[in-house]
Amino acid sequence: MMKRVNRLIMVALAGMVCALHSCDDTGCTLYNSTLCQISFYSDLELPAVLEDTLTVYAVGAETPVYNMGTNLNMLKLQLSYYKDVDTLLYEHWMGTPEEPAPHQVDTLFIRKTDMPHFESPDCGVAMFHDIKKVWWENDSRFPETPLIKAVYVNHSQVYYNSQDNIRIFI
Amino acid sequence: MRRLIIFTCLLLAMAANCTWAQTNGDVKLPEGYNKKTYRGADGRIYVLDENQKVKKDKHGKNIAVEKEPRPVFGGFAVMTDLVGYVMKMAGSWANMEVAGRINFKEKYFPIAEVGIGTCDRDGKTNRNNLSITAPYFRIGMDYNINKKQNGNRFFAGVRYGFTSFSYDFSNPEFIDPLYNKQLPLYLEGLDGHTQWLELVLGFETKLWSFIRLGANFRFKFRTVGDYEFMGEPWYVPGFGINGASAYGATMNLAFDFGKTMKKQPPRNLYR
Repeated sequence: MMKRVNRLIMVALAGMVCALHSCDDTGCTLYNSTLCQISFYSDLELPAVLEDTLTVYAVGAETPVYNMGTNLNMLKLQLSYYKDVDTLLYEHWMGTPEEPAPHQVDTLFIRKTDMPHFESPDCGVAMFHDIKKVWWENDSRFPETPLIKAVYVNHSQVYYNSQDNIRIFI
Repeated sequence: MRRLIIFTCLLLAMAANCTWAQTNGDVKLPEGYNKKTYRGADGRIYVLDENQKVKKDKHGKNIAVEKEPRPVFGGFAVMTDLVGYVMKMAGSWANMEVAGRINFKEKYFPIAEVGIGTCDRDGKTNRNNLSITAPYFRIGMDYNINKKQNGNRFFAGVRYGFTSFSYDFSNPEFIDPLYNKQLPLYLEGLDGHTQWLELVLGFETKLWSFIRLGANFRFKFRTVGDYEFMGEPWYVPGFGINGASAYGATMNLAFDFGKTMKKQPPRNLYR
């Protein structure tokens, strides 16, 4: 009788062992990509709102990085995974369909290093960036009204957490 | 101070009196007599040797029986975890291990476990792959809480585990979303180092002669986890799925060689 009880216990334990091992949890982070946060500031280092219609292109990319935004105080942009320097074209337009105006294009350059980051085979792989330097060029056609007046790196690490990475003074 | 000493002495005397009453019932022995005694079925008082203890028989009367012998060195055992081999065949990761254990007084079981941990896991919805093969080590102690020598052992124990390993992560279809360009990702030889503690609860029974089968359940706490910045491994050899804590279980087939394998039946000394 005792032997039978022992065997039953062992079978039950074997089942529990298998059940324990079969437990699986992916536990992926909620963020699936890293985005560079760019904020607009006034001359007095106060947050500012860009009232123009803004579209951002990455040189060489087929689609805009950011399309037709208005009344912006910040935007989050995808950086490239393999280029040392990202060249972003900031096209802003103050016109309306009734009163068309020329498109003004300023250029922002971001030098960075990239590092892949993974969590689990079941989760997506992200790319972390470390911004080394930023600089800009204004549209030579509009020397009197530049969109970008100054730029600096506020927080160089572009990870999952959202922080003010670059500040643009307008 | 003098009052405190007197009070302490009184407390000790009361405690001694309680023990005395439990052992002797209504029997009064000369003051200062400190040997364990009992009243036998014939009404006489007997003195117990160090190797004897008092038990109730089926009529509820006291009898003296010999304590089961527990030699200091009770033997040794070698064992292996059967779950690991099943996991190797059926799952994406497995801890395959062997262990050596020494039996001291049928109570204390120092144990060393050595194993190989493997993981080759693909992502469920992507082309990610994590690959690890590395040894791991655990040392610890089990305590047998079963006072009877009836072939079963119930263990409570602790382990300290450690491993150093390298891991590979790859995704041949990794894509830059900005330029929609494929960038095959192969991260190889990433270094990892983990240490952890385990709390163990287990059970073991004798199947036949020196062959025993047991199972234990483990709750693991990671104490050290050093990994590459690029990412922590999803699996750690010997620990299981990586995290601050983890559950685990093993089913051990043991070959137990020792002096206390046979059940020692109690013998009535005075009746």
